[in-house]
Amino acid sequence: MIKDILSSMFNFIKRRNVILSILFVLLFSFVIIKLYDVQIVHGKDYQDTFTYRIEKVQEIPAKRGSIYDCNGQLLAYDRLSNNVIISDIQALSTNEERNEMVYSLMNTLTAHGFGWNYTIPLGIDNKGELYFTRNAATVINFKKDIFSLNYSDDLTERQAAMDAQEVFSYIISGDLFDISDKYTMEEQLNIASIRYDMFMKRYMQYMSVTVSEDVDDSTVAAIKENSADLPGVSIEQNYIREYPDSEYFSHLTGYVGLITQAELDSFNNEGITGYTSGDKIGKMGLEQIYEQDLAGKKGTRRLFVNNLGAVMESYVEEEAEAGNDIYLNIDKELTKKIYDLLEAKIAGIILYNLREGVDPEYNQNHYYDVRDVVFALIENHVVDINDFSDPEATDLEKAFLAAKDKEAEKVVSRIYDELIKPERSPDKDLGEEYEEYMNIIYTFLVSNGVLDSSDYGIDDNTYNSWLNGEISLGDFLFYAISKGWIGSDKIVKDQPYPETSDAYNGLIEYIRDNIKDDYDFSVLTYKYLLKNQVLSYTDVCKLLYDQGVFEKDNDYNDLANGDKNYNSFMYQKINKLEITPDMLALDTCSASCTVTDVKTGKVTALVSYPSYNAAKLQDADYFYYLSVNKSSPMVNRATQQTLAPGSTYKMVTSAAGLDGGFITKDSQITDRVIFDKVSPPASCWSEVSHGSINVIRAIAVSCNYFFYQLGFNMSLDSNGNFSNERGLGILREYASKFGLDETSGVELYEATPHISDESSVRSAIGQGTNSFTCTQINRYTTAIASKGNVYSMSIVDKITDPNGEIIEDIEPEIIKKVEMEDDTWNTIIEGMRQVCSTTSGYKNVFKSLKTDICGKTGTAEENENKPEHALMTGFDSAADPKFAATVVFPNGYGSNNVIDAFRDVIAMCVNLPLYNSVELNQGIAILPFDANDRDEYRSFE
Amino acid sequence: MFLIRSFTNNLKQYDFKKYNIRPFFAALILSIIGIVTITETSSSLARKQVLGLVACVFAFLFFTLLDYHVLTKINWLLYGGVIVILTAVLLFGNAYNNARRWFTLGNFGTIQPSEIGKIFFIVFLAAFIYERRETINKLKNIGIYILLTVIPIVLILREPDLSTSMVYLFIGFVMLFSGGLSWKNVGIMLGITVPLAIFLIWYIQQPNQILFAPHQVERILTFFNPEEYMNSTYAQQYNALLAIGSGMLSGKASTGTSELIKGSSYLSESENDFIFAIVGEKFGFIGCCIVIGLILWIVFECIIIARDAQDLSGRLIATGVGSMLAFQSFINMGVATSLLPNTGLPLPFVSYGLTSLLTYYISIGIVVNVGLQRKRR
Repeated sequence: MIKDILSSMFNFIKRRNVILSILFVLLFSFVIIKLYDVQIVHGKDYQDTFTYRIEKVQEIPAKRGSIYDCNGQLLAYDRLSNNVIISDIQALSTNEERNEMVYSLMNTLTAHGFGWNYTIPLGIDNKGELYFTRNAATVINFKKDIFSLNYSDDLTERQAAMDAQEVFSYIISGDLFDISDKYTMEEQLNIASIRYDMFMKRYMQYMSVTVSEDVDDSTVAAIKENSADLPGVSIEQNYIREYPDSEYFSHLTGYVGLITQAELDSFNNEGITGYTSGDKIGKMGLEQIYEQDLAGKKGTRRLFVNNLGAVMESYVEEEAEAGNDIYLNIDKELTKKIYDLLEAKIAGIILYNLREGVDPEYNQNHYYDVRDVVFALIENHVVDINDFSDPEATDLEKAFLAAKDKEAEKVVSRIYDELIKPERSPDKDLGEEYEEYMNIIYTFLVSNGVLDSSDYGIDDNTYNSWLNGEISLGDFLFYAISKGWIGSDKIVKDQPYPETSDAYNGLIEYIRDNIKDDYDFSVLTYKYLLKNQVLSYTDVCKLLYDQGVFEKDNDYNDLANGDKNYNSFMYQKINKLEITPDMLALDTCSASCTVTDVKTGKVTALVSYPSYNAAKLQDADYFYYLSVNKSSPMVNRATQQTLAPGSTYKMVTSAAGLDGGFITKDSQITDRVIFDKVSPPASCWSEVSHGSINVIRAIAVSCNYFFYQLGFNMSLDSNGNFSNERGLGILREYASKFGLDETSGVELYEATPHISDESSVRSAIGQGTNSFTCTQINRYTTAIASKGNVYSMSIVDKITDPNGEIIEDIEPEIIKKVEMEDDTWNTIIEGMRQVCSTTSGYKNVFKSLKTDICGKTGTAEENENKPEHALMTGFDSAADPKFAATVVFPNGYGSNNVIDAFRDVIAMCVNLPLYNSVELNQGIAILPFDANDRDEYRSFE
Repeated sequence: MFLIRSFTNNLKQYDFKKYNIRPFFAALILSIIGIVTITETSSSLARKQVLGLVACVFAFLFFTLLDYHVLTKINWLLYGGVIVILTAVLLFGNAYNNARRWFTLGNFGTIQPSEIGKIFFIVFLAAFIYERRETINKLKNIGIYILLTVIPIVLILREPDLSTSMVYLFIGFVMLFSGGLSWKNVGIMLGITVPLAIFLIWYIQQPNQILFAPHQVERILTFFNPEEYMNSTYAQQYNALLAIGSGMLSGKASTGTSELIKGSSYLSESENDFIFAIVGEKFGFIGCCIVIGLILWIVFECIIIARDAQDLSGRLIATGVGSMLAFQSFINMGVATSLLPNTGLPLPFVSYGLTSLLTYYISIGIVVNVGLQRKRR
């Protein structure tokens, strides 16, 4: 029986599908046993103690390449900085331990003179009470964070309404950071801020919390020594970009800043990879243009973190590669000296042209009225009128504000009355003051989007009438409403389609209610308060001290006790270069200079004044100031400003004349002072005729008549018919030969030149519509000095890898040669030599140089309401030229003021003393060399 | 067409009292568990799975009613088709992670030929053996059989996809065994393959081996030395163990929402290859056992249907499907519990993946049809 059962069982088992079934059950049993082990036996362990292993990738920053001058001096470089960070948030687990650690850390930092990032919007006012230091939106966000909510809408009403004291109490309570009362309130706040930063990274713990940036070595040592008391704190190294002596070089170097989304997108479109948001890239200048070379390559580090993000293990997968270095042809020391010289000269020009009581109707000499110069401080934000409403404003500031508010009321009221009148007076009948106010109102409406100025232009008769002051602004606005140019939705709230008169009333009321807040309106109000002597200019000078622009000094005391008033104060401050031309942003406020090696085409100096400090751009206040400063410090005058070359152009005309067969070097033309073969007639600068002269003398004395005649002759065809285009065509041909039709080749953004296309006779002396940059004029000068080599000029010498191996060596190419007879060249150069050696006014300036220096001055008028430009270009030697220099003073009052600057630039290049043994960097303005010879000048000392 | 006419003819012949779709319900429960678990990872994937499931239900119903003899009649066509699509994927398929295993169907997702090929492979082999059932133990037939099995395996190995080819191998072997391979031949085959396998396992760990690709070597080494590979190739399985283990007895779903289900965030492939780990985290030991139970239930239904099948081909099909289901499930769970080296196979009915879902619902559909035509009971 058992045998039967067994055999039938055996048979059963022998069945194949049974075998298979048993096999399957066996397989799954293994799984169930394993599951039992993992889930039941060790389940709790898995739950509590073991941690996930998650892979994260971190970038290792690469050291950006450096920029050197021709002698290996650094202009821009990356410096390692040590940041104090909390990298292991989990190192301590109780609130008390963490607070202690943070407190220790704060003390260590303070002991070494460093602070920490303070990010929470709470502060203690001078009554010892807590208040919110930021706006409501920031506070709501903060509350959402500390209550661990995802959306600010999730805040309860109670939470949203909590005031600063209540928020603070919550933060230090056991519900959040549990900060004990043994600390002072201020200490509690500081601990809370750092705890908050740690709290915000609690789910991303592989990211560290930066507590303090760029600490010094002793702090680093202190932190490492005390690491037992500071668990979780470590030092992280990063790079900070340094720009030594930045002001001199920022136009060349540019600066680096955070990459924007738009820039990232455009890089991706161009196939440039490797950038992520949070990277810094070059934004201007060489930093931008050579971004790909300088940037290097970031490395990657792989981390394994647990599910809270704490790092379990890390290794460097790919090392970072440093960027390439760039060596320039620029000479650092030369650049600095030239820059200081230019600043001192501009200040000197301003001083020379300062006057008291200038009549604007009779100001052909374009003098600066000292009072306008004082007001320029307000206009250019040096004295910031917005600070008058600060709670910490001084009494004087408050007085100014009060006066303005009172006056603004009056002005607005009067304007309202004017505009609301059925019969409105034309603007020009209102008087200068109110005409200006009306203009400001117009600008205000356009910039606020109420008036859409793209809808009309000067061809509109009504607009034109208003521009000429013939009708009232009110009339124009009424007209504008009827034409639909006014966005009525901004002013008349309830009616979508108001009657014109209703809309007009609404508009006037809108103006009345809002104009007082307009910045430009306020500035104008102050202008007239000062003009009408309600406020005093001397007080404006005092405001410089109240606002911290200057530390209180003797000058301040003199102002305070009446020993000095505004005119001598301003004179002395400008003279001492404490108030600098860029702070005033008058017409005369800028300068540029280019120096090139004649034999190679390498640019050894490229200077632009005013300039800015690239290292300070992180500072939001500084950046704001740069953006509103009317002297535009960030514009590179040497490459981006084109202007009429004036008489510096005459060598082109001479070359065209000699080489084109119109004159020989002996041909004489008699200067008749007034050239009347064109209409209107053109006149020579000298009322006394230069007599009969040849081209050499014509260059030497810069005789306009000679060149008018030459230009005229070029414009005649074989039958003697005059054609502007013919003359212009010849001049263009030669200008192009000298490279004036293209940018100079300098590796920065450069404005395109414009060869004149108007009036051949005037173009011959460098007027017409000729317009070139300092660099372009310098290139053409280099071509003269080298007798024909037109270079593609270069400020970059070579690019090397981080080890110094040369990757690219840049030799300026001669892109064209001006082929002319040697005799022609010698003629022109002789003319230039005589400018410096024989001209009565100038020769004393150059005599002390003892070289056969060649130059050509230029005085170019571009705007009859502004002072003329001053230029001079030339080279150090007729026989063996090495350096070609071009100096430009836009609105510099004519070439007399640039001669000694040019002489000094050449002197610096050849290592000779400066004119009158001037010492730079003494903080003194350098007056024009002939200042004391001229009668009208007096100083205000 | 011929197929449609025979289809409608057969419908009249079916005795619907024998229409046993119990395996279908078990499969459905598994799929629902799957969808619920997939939602942890991604709700959009879960939605796609639901749509896929609906399609599969229709496919299932269709195949339960299609007479499997139709399929066996065209078995060479099916086999040809399998070879064609396996070749095509090598030439035209999408390269992903160094493997060409899929075709993309635009927004519909991907289709994996080696997956869907399995059921047609089973049907083909069943028919093949059936035709030679008297003489299956002849060397010639065995030889041809082995050749026919090896060709698709080689194609799959070239993708490369070692794990799926092992499933094909297992299917081939089991079906031959079920089909009446003599014990002697069984012994010979085991005598060859088992020592070979052991040799290969030893060989792959040798530093200068040339047979296996680097990632395959890495997998074996990881399996034998997990501590050394904690931060690289073992990390995924380790995380899977964490997820499963932390589910403990009844899983995090039952202890309420305060427990974060972390596994789906930290575990890659948590919607297909490692879904069992998430099931373990969410539903605990009990949940896992339920899943195992459901799968076993379907396997046994297949085996019972096989026993009662009308003919050998039906029996072989049912056995083949049951084995495929059991073997693949075992591999998937084994990987998720670190019993086996890491290899990517979906968990039938549960994992996200249209092809896999379709394959299995079609498979049990055919099995149900076999059952519909059974002889006894």
